[in-house]
Amino acid sequence: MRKLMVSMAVLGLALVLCNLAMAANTAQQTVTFEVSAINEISASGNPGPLVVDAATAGSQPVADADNTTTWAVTTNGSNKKMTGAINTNMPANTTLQVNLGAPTGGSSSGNVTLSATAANLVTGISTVVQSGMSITYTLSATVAAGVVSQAQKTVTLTLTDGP
Amino acid sequence: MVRKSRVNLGWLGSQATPLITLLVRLFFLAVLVLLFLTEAEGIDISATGGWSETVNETDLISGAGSNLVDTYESSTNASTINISNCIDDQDEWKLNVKRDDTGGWPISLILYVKRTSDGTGGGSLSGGLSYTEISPTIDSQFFEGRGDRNNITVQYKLTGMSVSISSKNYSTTVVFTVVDI
Repeated sequence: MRKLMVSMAVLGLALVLCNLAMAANTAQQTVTFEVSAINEISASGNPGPLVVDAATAGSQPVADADNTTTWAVTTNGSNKKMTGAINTNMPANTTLQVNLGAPTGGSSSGNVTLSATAANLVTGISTVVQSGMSITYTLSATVAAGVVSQAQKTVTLTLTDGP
Repeated sequence: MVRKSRVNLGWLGSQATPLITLLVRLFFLAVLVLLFLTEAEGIDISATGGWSETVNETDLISGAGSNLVDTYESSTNASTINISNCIDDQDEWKLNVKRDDTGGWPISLILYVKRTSDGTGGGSLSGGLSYTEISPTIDSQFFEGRGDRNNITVQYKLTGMSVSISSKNYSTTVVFTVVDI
């Protein structure tokens, strides 16, 4: 009986010590945040009118260019590309080209002829924040175009998945 | 107190059969253990709330070509903490905070917490009114107090956001620990 009593007392003491050791109590809260896919581009404005109205005798008319606008990009994605298209095709024997400067890590396609079908302008765009990149438009025409009355084209620049 | 119990048990033992004596002794021992357990019971803490934040293109500083805003803050009462089961209004405790990351918490993101109210109750609080960084590795002391306090509100802050953080969901568990001192 004495042994039983001693055992019970030891057990009770152990329980007390365990309880003391657990005196620190905890509560938990969850902090969650979501980062959405961010793919934002912008252009600084519209280029000036492009006019082909001069030529050197014996040569095709001189092309006209505008580099007064720039573009900017912010993306947290990877392997994106910029494409460009115009709302309707150019008149016969006229050509509108665009050349976009590339952000860090990207690759420019150089002078690209615009049409109603989207064409790659810059490829390999990944996780970048950059602005002030050049846009150069060039209008050219051959004498076969004749006189073309003034018209407007809407250029759509799109940041999309690569390659 | 133990010696007194043994005397009584001996007196009872002389009045009953050995089996009853054993049962009575076990009963008194159980009561004794329960008394010890009650005496040693710790301070309790509970918390409600939390914080969920979505970062998207509207958080760019100035649109395309700019980075994300660096710092985000929750509401001032994102979580509510209750401290209870203190012995009395002078029972001192401290509150530690730590975080347990899950799901690849970005190393550049730092989470902070601060106390935005005193709550209610007979005790008192001190500290924690400016942001404390919540470490993933060590318990940081948040604030301390005495006695029971209810509805202590806290606010969270996140810094270090940028577009270099991949688009996905991130989560961490903030662990508040009350320590009786």
